[in-house]
Amino acid sequence: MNKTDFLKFLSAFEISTAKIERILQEMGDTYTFERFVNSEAIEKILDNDFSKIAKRANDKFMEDYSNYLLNKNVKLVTCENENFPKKLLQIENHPFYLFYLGDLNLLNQKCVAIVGTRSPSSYGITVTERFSGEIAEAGGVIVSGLAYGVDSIAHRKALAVGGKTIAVLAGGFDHIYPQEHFSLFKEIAQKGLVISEHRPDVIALKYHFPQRNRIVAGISDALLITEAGKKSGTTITKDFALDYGVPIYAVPGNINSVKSEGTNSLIATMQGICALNTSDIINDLGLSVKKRASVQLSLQEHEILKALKNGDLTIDQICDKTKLNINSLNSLLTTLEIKGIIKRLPGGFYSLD
Amino acid sequence: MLSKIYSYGLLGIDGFIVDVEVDISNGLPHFEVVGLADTAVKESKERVRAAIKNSAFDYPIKKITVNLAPADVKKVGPLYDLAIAVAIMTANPNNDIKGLTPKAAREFVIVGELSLTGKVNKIKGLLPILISAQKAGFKKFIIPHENSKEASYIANVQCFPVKTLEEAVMFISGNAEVPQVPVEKFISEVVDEKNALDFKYVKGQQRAKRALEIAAAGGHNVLMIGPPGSGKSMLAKCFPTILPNMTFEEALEVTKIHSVAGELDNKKGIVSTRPFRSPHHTATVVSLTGGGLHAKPGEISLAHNGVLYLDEMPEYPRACLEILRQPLEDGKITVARNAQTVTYPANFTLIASMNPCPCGNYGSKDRECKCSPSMIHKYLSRISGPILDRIDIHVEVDNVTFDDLRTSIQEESSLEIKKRVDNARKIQLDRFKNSKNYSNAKMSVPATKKYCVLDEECEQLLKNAFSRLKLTARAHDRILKVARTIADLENEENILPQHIAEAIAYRSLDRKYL
Repeated sequence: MNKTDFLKFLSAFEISTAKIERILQEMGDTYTFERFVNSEAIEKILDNDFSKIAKRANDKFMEDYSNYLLNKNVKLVTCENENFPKKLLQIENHPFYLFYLGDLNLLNQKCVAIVGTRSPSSYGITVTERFSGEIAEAGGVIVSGLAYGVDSIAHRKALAVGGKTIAVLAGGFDHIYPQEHFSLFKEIAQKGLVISEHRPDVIALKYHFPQRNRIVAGISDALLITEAGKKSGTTITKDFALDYGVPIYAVPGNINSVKSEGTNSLIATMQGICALNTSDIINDLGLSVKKRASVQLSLQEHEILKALKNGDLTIDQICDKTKLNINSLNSLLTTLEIKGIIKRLPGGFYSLD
Repeated sequence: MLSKIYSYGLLGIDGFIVDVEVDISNGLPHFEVVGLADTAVKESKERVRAAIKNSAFDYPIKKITVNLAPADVKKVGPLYDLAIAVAIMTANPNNDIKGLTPKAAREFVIVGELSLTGKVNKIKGLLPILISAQKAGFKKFIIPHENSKEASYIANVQCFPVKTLEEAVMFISGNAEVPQVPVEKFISEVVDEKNALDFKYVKGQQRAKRALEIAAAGGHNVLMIGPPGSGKSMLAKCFPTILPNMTFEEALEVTKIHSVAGELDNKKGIVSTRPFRSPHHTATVVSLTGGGLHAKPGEISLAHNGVLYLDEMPEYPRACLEILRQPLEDGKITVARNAQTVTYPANFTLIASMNPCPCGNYGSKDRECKCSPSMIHKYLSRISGPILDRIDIHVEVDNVTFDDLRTSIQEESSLEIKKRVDNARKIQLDRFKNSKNYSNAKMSVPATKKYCVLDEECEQLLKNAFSRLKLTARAHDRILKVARTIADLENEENILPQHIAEAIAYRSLDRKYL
């Protein structure tokens, strides 16, 4: 038995990384079940769980476990494997194995984590979509946690522009949280990558989420916070990123908005770089901005775009500014939306995409 | 002695003939009503006795048996009082009024409730009774005076309104004259004075107004989404002002229902404006569908040929919303109770409103939304897919700013909008000449295929929209129907790309909202 198989064996039991590290030390370089079962030191480390685990320390169990993962179509990569992300190995308390679905190679590309509040304002939605879309178009991989709000918006936008994205889950793949994002999870597993350090049947517990955030920060080359309040899970990700030396970008917001307090204070305390446009981040990563193909527009469509340049407007306001009648405006806005030039925000606002 | 005269009963909104038979024989003084009578009918013996006595007529101290035939149908309500009283008086062996015979009384269909003083009180549901009886071949009616307005819209019948039992008896016996109710011509009123609303008072809200115009033109149901105080209710209340006038047949149908429910304005006698019903969100299923002991029509039937407005739609109990499915599809509701099963018409335009989230500020620029995503999700999912399926137009209503309110720009009046709506309806009437349907919204699947033909450009646009805006499949037919109506409004024979594009703008809830 080699180290990879041994780690695979351990991955079946939800053992904390700290304990795994100590077990590996005890095992030395010879990995056999016999040694594992007979080691008193390991018995001490695992305490009550030991008997349960020792009982299963045999080849039969390993075969069953392999079949179980195979049936679920879930793959496992351990830190011994060369595909295991190098960035992740450098962090303290790093996971020894990852369960994954999708294309593991994405981890070795330029990854940008985009995180933020779970209930973004329309401003937060706009900037998240803009940054996520443009970075993904430039070839960056968008990393996030499949949560409500900024997370899912970032994932969706990356997929929408045909880019790549990685979702890091707090629990196992059988229990997607939040459930509403199941279809998104499926799509990412198909077109991108989903990773978790937990067995598929594990339901995410409260303490799993901060642990997940260390992986988000650990696999990323940059962290972008688009909108975050003062107290938020984003703070944890940010702290990890600070520890790991991952550059942090924060999008400035309205100083009166509670939802931008977190990002604004990041900039004020110089912990984060003020992200004013996507090209800075893209250049810092060593990628290059992709030029968009220009689209033919009618005179009226130009009028509408001109009106929207100064900020988001409702249809009534556009109606006032362009003096177009409501019938044609309705259809012009839809066509522009289909062309992907403007987009509709909740609350009836339109903004440039 | 035996006497048999005619009265009329109600089953749902249809009448049926009731023979009131009275037998007076010697024996211990007794009064019995048989023939599946409910409490109100049973109690009529007290009213009848007192009314006859207090009108200074002779009340026979004998054994009186009243039978209401057919004996297997439940009789409900006090409308047989007058007929029973007349029957007793004609059957009374001591009857000394000249000409008061059962034969004379059988000339008429007699309906009316009696008070103890002998006064004839108004009844519910006279109009449906008259319509059914006229169809059955009855010509002469004795009705309560207070109901005379209601009777005045039925041609080819003679209605004689009476105020008291005495007047009725004297008239039947030929000892007095009662003027017949004059027949009136129906004039449709557009706006009810009660809610004198007009779109010209609604400032801004261009998109919402346009959406309602389309809805009125094509008979589409509308869901308005907007923050509190954005004028959703005001818009909804203005909606009837741009609906086409009711035809006489429509008005009669509506009046029938309102008459049965006892909601008819006796001074008017007919419902001449399209009804606008807005049941509160604490409404029960029964109050909406109708039913209860006597299977009375509910709010959705009272909204027949008019508007049913559900304010704050997600606040309604799930069951209340789900029962709207049958009426939205078939235009009628079947209420089954253990005594009877009744089908009421319920062909209404549904206007619903809701906030974008529980606190109402989701998506607002200047007010902060405090709802968590799961709260918003839960809120939105209270309106089920099948219901959403039946609502063609979703429109976002923006917040009104102070500037909007103070602007001096003259808004279009309801009358101008109505002209366009009437025109579009005319096109539809021509189109659906030979089918049961008369609006774009109610087009069947084959009809949609036939009348909503798209050219290449439209197809392409629709295809792009689906992939780009992530519309759900159910949006497809809705978009076609609304596009058809928009084309009708612009007097275009074919659906053009701009019509499709505009129709797509009204499917906001089909998109990923969060």
